[in-house]
Amino acid sequence: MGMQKPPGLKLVDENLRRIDGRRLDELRPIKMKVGVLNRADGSAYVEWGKNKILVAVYGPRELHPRYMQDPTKAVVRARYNMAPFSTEERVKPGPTRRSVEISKLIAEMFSGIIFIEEFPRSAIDIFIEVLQADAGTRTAGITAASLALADAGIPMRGLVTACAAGKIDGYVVLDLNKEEDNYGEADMPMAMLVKENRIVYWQMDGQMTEEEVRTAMKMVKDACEKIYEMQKEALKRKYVDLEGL
Amino acid sequence: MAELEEIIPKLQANYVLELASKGMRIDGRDFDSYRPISIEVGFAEKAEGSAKVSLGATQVIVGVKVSIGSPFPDTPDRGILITNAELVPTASPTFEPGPPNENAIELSRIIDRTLRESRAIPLDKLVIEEGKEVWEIWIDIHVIDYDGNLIDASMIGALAALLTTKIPEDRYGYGSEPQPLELNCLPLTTTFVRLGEHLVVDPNLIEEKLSNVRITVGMNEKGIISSIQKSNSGFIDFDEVEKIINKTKIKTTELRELVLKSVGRS
Amino acid sequence: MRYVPRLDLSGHKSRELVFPGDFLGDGRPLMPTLYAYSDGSRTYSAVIGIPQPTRTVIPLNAKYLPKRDDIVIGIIEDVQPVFWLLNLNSPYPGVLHANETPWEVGFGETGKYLNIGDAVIAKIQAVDETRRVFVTMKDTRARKLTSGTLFFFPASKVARILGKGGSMVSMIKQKTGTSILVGQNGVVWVRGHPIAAMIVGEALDIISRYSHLVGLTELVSKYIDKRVSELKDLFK
Repeated sequence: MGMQKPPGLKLVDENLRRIDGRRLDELRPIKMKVGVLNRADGSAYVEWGKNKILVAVYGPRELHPRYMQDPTKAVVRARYNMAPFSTEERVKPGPTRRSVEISKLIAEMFSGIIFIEEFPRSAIDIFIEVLQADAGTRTAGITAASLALADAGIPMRGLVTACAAGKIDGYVVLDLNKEEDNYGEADMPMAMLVKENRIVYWQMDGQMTEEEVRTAMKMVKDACEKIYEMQKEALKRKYVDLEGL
Repeated sequence: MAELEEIIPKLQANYVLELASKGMRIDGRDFDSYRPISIEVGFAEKAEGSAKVSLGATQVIVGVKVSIGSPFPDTPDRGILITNAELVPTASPTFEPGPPNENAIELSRIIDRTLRESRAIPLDKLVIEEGKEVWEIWIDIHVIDYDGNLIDASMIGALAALLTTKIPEDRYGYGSEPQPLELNCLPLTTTFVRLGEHLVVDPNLIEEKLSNVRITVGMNEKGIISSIQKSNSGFIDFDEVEKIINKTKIKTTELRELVLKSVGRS
Repeated sequence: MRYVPRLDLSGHKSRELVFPGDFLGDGRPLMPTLYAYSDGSRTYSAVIGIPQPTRTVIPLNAKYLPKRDDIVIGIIEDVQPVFWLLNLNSPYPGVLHANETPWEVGFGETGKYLNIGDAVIAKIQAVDETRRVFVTMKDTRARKLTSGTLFFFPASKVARILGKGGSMVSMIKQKTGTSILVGQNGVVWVRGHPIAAMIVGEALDIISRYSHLVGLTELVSKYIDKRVSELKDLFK
């Protein structure tokens, strides 16, 4: 957000098309695959625009050290991490303040969706690896994590679907790519339980009026409904169509 | 990355040895066969070179990033090569998040040594201004699924990634377009473990855990050996050395064919 | 990890499946279950699985949750002076107290009887509300396993491995000439010629992977016949 825009760069043209040709409310192309890792209890891989995100779930499993166990429920832990080769500038391995914040919010979100009281004293670990980044990695990661949790057989209320909207050149748009994120005025990632109309993840960064937030929320919700169908399709491809099995 | 213990039941250990006495391994292979290998180059599009490798159920992504930096003070006329490995927690229930542990460090050093000592990468040609500016080659090994033999999987990935690496001269204003990195030679590794009395190549997870000795040899197409690593508490019989070197020659030749095919050069 | 070769699945279909959040029916589940939940008057699935008329779900990928009286195969993962800790292929380990064995185990003598890596057949004696598990070997079926090998699967696959009335596992035993014991916790013990055991492992992998397919028994039966014929020279 807020990088100095190259002079003359228009993020939205006079036909209301963006630099990659998309309309204001258009999603980037998304591909999803469930069950891509052999060791993990559950896994999923999502390509979302130029993003490539891999998620593995381990759990429920014994939690060590013992003093960290909760006698009444499972502890949900998440780790959002970027591979060194995921961006144009190499990312130094290790957590950053940004990745720690994202990990915290994702763990908290899934704690409210997984039936954690059924698994006291255990851990449920969610590992989100960004293999290639192009803005919207956390929403792609959340969408993939839901699939990985379902693949792992972890009981939960439903699939979580995530997407982001933002503001570029004064326009509210859906699903920012990297340039739009760099030079735009606001970014708002959100995740919902689509079937229940409940928001379970929500952040905003930038400047938006109340009306712009309302417009953005409606845009994301509509997008989530489409993405949710894609998640179901991805699960069906593995389990019903036996793809890759 | 810390690692937890993975306990192999005694019955499984005995079973592995029993099968070995019949010339077979638990996944149906003979002693000299590698598991199915697939190599996908260009997987990480923001890297200057990359390859995603699966070796049986082991999966590794190797990314090559190229940037500009100052040379090391003792080698002002050489570019820089740095190799790093991460045992990502997705790969195994025993991998925990954290800085590289001794296994990750050993893995990266074996790959680095195999490349560096064979002079595969022409570091002398990666100088922009002697003593001031050189190209830095960062090799990052990202292990995402662990079922044994990370060394050979990573070496295959590193070679395939390097063969498709382009120096981004255009990005830094040193040229009008990216230039392919020309390698001097093509080193690869062959890793063995011993099961009972038999040396087997390309150990899977259980074989690696059960064996008390592992040996890796790095060799290029001219038969020059640039790395040897024996790990674990067991021993190599002196009479096995000949067999190890001969098998390495045969296997690295086969693997090289696969790598060259994956980058479109056969 | 073994590879399950790509099988010809033409003509084989999956049973009807539900996914997390899918509606199962009006009313509450007819049995207590953690694989379905209800919000007042409607019930939804919590997992990927096969829906049942009782508004419950048979999960495809559930881990073993120890239940009293289950017969399981456990691996010793820790040895203490008066008890052992068992890996039950579950998020929850089992405690086997020295008194709960058929032997006279003195204080500190536990290592003389069972050590890390040993496998035993045991019974789940008790599970408390934090899912702390106590196991016993005071049962006629319990013993230490001293031969054969083990394969590990999610517990939700046990029913398919056994088959209706034990038909699947009997077929496998008969075609491979092996003895097979299936623990409720998804640990399977196989004894016989090592090559036969290897084929059993591959067959079990197929069952685990394709557990929700219709016509699975036929698929597995054909696979075993093919492998036995391919490897017959090694059966000496």
